[in-house]
Amino acid sequence: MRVLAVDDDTQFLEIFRDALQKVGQFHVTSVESGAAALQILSDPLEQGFDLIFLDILMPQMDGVQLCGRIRRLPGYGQTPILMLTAAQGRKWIYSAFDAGANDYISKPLDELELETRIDNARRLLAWNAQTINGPEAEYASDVSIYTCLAGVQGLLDTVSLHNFVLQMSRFDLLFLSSLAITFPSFPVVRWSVGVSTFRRLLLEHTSAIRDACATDNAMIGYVEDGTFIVVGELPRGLDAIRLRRRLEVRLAAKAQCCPNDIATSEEFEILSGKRFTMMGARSAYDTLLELEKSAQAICAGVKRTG
Amino acid sequence: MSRVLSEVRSRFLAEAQIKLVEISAAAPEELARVDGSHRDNPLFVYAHRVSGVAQTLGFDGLGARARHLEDQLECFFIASKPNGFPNLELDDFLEELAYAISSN
Repeated sequence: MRVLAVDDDTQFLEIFRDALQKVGQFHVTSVESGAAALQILSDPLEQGFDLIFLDILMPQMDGVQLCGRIRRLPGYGQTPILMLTAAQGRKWIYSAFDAGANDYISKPLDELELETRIDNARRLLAWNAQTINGPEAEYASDVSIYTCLAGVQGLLDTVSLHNFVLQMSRFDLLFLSSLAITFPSFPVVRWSVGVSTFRRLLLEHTSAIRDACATDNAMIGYVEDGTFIVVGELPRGLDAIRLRRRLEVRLAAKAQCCPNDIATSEEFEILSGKRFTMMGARSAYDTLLELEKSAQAICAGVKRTG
Repeated sequence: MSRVLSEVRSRFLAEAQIKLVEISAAAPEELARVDGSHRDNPLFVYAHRVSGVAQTLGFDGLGARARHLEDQLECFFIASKPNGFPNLELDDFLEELAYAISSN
């Protein structure tokens, strides 16, 4: 198993390598900075790593930033990333999970904990392989996604999402209504179980929301940072293409990027440009408010002209 | 104790001796100086390093002192300096550092 360890403390790296050798058979590469890690991970001559350990508190580029950048590297979307953190660093663990980390190990180093976390990472690796390769395993992992969601705020957001759409359907609203909602732990779920499985979950949600709306006109999209966008009944005179374009322009304005950086697919899935991905939950909530206001304005306009 | 751990422990103590002299001789304003992020402050960096590695090397007391100092430094640098520079915590840390050096 090939392991990459990144820590600015060379003494810790030595101890860590030693501990890894006691726990199992590892080919360990260690580097002392985020820049060096990115260089080695981007090197086409490198054979790739099965497991990555990142210290959180490092100068120049901290472990959380590095984790996010590794996730965007080709071939490292699913590789287990474990954060190394002293007790004080635990408050950064949550942002590390958001950036795509899978687990963490506390400092001072405990060999038993190290072994347990590595076993966990191995299971995750095997699970990811099954998820990618087998439809049955993928279905099984879907169930696990719900379990994951049960422990995080994301589930509450999903419930809010359903309630919102149910209320819409009760009042038989014949106008455009749009909603953006954020999954703060979306990256954790996404990186833990894989994109394909998560998209399947998304489709299931889409279907459930459509059923709740009792219409085929509800559309749902999501942004890479975990923002869901739901659009209800379309008003007359505004087709889906125009609507999508309008949303792209609005989202681009919000994210301060070019509308062309945000592309929409046939399924109305919004694939975000790099800058848009950087939007935080607060920005997504602002987007929700803005979209709702625009929806109400459009509705009022349609009613007047209709 | 493994050979690697023993070697790192020796180097850690050698470095600790130098740091003890450096920190003890530095003026308070020098210790509190921050260029850019507080995470680059040398005292904070050292306290963080010690808190991460000391207990693994068998210096439990020093690890605890370092963690406390790191916490207090973070409060000082981030939370609008509510209690001033943590001189007391720094003294405790240096005392423990000196103890670790003398008893090994």
